[in-house]
Amino acid sequence: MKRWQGAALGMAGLVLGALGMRLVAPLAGPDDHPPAKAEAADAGPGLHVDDKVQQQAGVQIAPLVARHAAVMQDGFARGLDPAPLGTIASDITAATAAHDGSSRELARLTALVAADAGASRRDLDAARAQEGQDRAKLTQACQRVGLEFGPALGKLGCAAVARLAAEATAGRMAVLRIDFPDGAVPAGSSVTIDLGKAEATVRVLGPAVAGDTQLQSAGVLALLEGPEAALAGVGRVLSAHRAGGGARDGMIVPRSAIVRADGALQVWRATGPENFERVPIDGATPVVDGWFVARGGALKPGDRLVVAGAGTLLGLERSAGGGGGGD
Amino acid sequence: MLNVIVRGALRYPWLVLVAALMVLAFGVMTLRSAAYDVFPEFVPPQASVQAEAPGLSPRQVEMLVTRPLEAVINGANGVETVRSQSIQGLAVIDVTFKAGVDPYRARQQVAEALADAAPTLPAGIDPPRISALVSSTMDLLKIGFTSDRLTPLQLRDLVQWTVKPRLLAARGVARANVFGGDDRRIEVQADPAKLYARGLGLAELRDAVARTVAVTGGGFADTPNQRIVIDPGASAADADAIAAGVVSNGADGAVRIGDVAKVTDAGAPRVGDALIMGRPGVLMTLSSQYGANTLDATRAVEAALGELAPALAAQGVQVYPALHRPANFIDAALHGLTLDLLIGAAMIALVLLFFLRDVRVTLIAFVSIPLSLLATLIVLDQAGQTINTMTLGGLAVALGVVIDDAIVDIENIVRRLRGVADRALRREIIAAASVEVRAPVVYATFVLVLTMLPVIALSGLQGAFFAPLGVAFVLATLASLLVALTVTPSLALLLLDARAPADEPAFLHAVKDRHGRLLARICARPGLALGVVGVLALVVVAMAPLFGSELMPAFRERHYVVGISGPPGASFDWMRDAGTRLSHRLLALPEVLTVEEQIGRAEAGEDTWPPGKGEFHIRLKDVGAGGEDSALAGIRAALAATPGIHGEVTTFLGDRIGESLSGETAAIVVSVQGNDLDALDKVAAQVAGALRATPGTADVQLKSEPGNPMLGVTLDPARMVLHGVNRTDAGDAIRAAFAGLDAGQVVLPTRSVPVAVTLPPQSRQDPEMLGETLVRGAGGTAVRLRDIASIGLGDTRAIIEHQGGQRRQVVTANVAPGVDVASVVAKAKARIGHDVTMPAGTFLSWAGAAEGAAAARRDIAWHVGIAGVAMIALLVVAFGGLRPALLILAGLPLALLGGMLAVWGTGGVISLGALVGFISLFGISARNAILLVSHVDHLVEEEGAAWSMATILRATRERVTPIVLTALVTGFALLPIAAESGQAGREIEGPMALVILGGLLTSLVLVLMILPALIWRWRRAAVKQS
Repeated sequence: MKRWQGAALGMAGLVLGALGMRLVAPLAGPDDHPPAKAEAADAGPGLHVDDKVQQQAGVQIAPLVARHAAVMQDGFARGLDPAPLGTIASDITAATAAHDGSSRELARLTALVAADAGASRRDLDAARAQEGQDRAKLTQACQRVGLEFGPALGKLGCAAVARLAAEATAGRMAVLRIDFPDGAVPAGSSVTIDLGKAEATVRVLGPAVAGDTQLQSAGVLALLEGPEAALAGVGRVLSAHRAGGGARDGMIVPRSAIVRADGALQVWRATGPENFERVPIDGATPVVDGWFVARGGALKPGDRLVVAGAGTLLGLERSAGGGGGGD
Repeated sequence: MLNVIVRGALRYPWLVLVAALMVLAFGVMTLRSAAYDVFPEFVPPQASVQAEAPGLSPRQVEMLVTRPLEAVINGANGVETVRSQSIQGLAVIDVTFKAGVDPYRARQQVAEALADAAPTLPAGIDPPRISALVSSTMDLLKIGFTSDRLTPLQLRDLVQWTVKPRLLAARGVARANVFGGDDRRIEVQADPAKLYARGLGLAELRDAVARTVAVTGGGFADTPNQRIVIDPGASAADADAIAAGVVSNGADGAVRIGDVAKVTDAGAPRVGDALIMGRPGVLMTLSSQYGANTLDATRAVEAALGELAPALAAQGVQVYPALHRPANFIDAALHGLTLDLLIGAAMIALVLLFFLRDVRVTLIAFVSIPLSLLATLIVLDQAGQTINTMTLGGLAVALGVVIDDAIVDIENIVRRLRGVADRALRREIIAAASVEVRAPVVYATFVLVLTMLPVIALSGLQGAFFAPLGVAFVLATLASLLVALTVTPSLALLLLDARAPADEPAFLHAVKDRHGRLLARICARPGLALGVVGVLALVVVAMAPLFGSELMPAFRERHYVVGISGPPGASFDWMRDAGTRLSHRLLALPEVLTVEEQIGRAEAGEDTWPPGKGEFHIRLKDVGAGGEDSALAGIRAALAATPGIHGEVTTFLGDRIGESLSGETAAIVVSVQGNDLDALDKVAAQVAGALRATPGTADVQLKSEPGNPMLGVTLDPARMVLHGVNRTDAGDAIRAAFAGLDAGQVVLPTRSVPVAVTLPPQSRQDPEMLGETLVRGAGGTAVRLRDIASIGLGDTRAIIEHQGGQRRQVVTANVAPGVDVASVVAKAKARIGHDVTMPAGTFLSWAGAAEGAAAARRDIAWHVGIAGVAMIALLVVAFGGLRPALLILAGLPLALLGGMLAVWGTGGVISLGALVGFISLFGISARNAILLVSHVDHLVEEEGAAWSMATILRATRERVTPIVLTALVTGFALLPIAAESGQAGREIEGPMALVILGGLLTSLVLVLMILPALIWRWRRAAVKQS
């Protein structure tokens, strides 16, 4: 083969090779492939989700409505044995009688001594001592109510004890000890007692004398009066509920609106037709139809919350690289 | 030796004929009874170990269950890799054994190791179980059940306890998993106030329930004449009976379970869910046994389901019997390939008839096809192999090759018989003609076998797929050699002994004349011929790196699998809601026939997903490849229109192949390994960002996304002491609140129902209510959980993964349609290397289809090198020097160029199938060169022809017919497969056939136009010397 033939062949080979590369190169180049389009992306603060995506995600929005709500506390009520009450009533009666007698004797001797009509000063001193002794016994009998049941019952006075004992004996009254794990409730609070077939509301009188060894709580006393008293048998533990902190103004956030993220309960609030922001709700308390959020926090009545599709928005936010996450 | 065989066959031609007929008959019988499957067993021997750890968080599962089990499994013999997942309430350890290990023996070793480890697990952890051994494709049938009449509880009961046992009894079924509905359990919903009032705790209640449902035996009493069995009576069998059980007997009388708790039938906490055609329903997934015949097993299940159909219809249950039926693809694939084989065979017969112009001669050549192929099937069946698309593909490629030997043989016989009238002489001529071509035919066959050895020697997934193809090809080729040595001469003797063969067609004479004139001009410039070969070799080398590569093509199964994941921490309700919307969008696609979704996992099932992950199976109507592509686009659009869902669309087989490669379904898998989970998350997020920024990637996902909400409870020992409760008391209360305390099971004649002690539903409405749960100590004290513990929301991971005992975070990605995975991975690696900072102790490992393809290429390159050396050695021995060997191999560049042009014309991506096609080209192109070189040698050495250009031209002219004929039959044999490339069953073989066709065409040009010139210039000295 001549040289020029070899050179020509070489050139032809190079041209052919280049042509092959030119033809084939575009087939293997994926650079012009468009990247996957994001469904939702951040547009400033919050999350921007266009209307079409909202429809696809089944997003529904509803305004928050102002509500009064009470946060219920749950506890236990136990019917106390009224027998000590009867004993105390009896003791008070006896002590009262004894004191009455010694008081009159003292008065009589005092008058006689004053009139110097045959009564010795020694008798007078004895009568005075007796009267003091009987008064002390009466006082002690009266105090026993407070010591055995609690100061709340003691405050009703000695005179009430006999009536209470009589009512209890007749089944028209029961002394309840009420314990709330959250702590003792203040005197005057209303507590609803679940008696099984019926409910009754009682007013708290004040603290009971002893703590509960099981719950480690300080109990309070209340009187359950009326026919329901018969249902609160001695030793029976009943459910007790009270509105904690009284009724408050706020809003009920439906459970479907709540997502849990970044260590808190959160809701999505619409800030525009296609914009949303994630708002943590602090201090919310669970109620029957959702979570109660008190006024004064991040939410206010009229705020438009996402009540369906909240989880999807959270997912979109995470996909778009927003929000928190991570340990 | 060859002489002896040929002359022996000619001595007993009838005996050879009878033997051939027996092989045909046995082959047909084998064809009827053989086991058919879609693919060979391509998944390496493996075992999946699962340990249920009810109530434990992923971190607890990792520490308490996964690590101890991993430690013992890692030490077992034959273990290749150990991967694990710790998810809520479940530890999953996937063990892959070394190739070639007996799966039964390997599982036995793992079972023994687990038996040792089980006692060391904490109380409350179920004993670890090894999942059933199933076939590679695993899925046998997915059946859906919906009902307007039955409640989810009743429907699940019916499927679980009536349908499942019947279908499990069908032959070939290994496992049946049930998703969806409500799994029945009896709940003892304790009233904390009532328990407190009676001085009781959850532990006492659970013990009481366990006593109530406990089953005891009564033994027997022996009498002088009889043994009397004592039946102590059944234990509590329903909610009412349990409610009547006694908790305690005190001074105030007995406290019954019903006094302190409500006992009721309820749904167990869900671990899985299902949507059937967009409606809540129950899904049953059936898996086939290892080595089972998928078609037979499917039919057995369908027959069993048919028996149940009337009963199900009577209860108002709508059955969807084939939501996923892999047998459809097997049927379609096998039917398609069989059709291709038949069409190819028919076309070969026509070509033979056209060229040979004699029915008898055509018959003699043609009979080698059924004989070789059936003999191959017999051997494969006897070796316990299934008949699958790969073996059929091997036979399809071999179809054009197996007849070559017979064609060369009969053509030589016919050519030499022309003009010979003496019968005795004709017999001798037949023998001599057969012997004459034996040596080159044997060399050519051995070269073919050598070229296929690199394919047979492939390891891993690629080996599992292509080795059966190579084995089938080699067996068929060897069988055809035997046929050409025995049956062809015998039949020639029997059929042509007394008959003069027809003359060559006139047009062939004209073609040969023109070819001879052209060849004479080329032979005059051998240097130019060599230059052309050299340039083409350079072009081939230059083009090779420009092609993309892929491991496996997309399979046309008319079935798509969409793996989906919701936002981190997504619940079953959210997934059901999103799944319903997506189902309706999918059902609106005109190509879609059925849609089902499985969410979460089934107990002891194969896919152990948390609630936020699921899988859609979409079955298409009877559409073609275009319809499938249209459906794929529609599915992707539906996914894009379902916000919050991340989806990954694969075919079912693609999904299984991906899982067997890397444990993931995605094409690209990056494992970030280390010990610090936070560091892994950080690096994984950077890797995911880099992958997203790499052009050509799609579906980039973090496998275990952080940000799953968690309610953390941290007990305060000091406050616990103050209130007289311990960790067990608190643990019982926590577990009872949501999961329930296991209290045994109610045993019924046909089933058992678990019993759990739990709290009333209203206490479980909000996770935060856990703090209000009353914890009761042994001393009778009671305290709210929040008074003895800090409870707060936080984040956690849904899954903690290990590989080789080390923690890992996995990032997966797919490639955009039409983009080759290897180039994407190369770019991604470069970007990650630039963008991602690796903390100390953290490293990356890559897996998936790209790595598989690269490993396959490395494997093949290595094996081809060895085979090439062996091939050259064989040719050197056969032809007495290196020069003829190089002459024969000189045709390779042109053959490769043809194959490359075929790849270029069909997308520019070299799949593994195409790569095997290139390897086949080596043998096929060398074969014709061997025939030509050996014939030149024969003319000069045996027939005493002078070494001259005229002799070269004569040898070429005499070889034109067999060379063109063999090329044509090979081409026509492959044409149906090439034409149907990409259709069901031809996804792998189609590109292979295209490459061979392209290479065959250019190789033909080389052998007929250029090789004679090279022989004339460079073979001269050797022949003269000899």
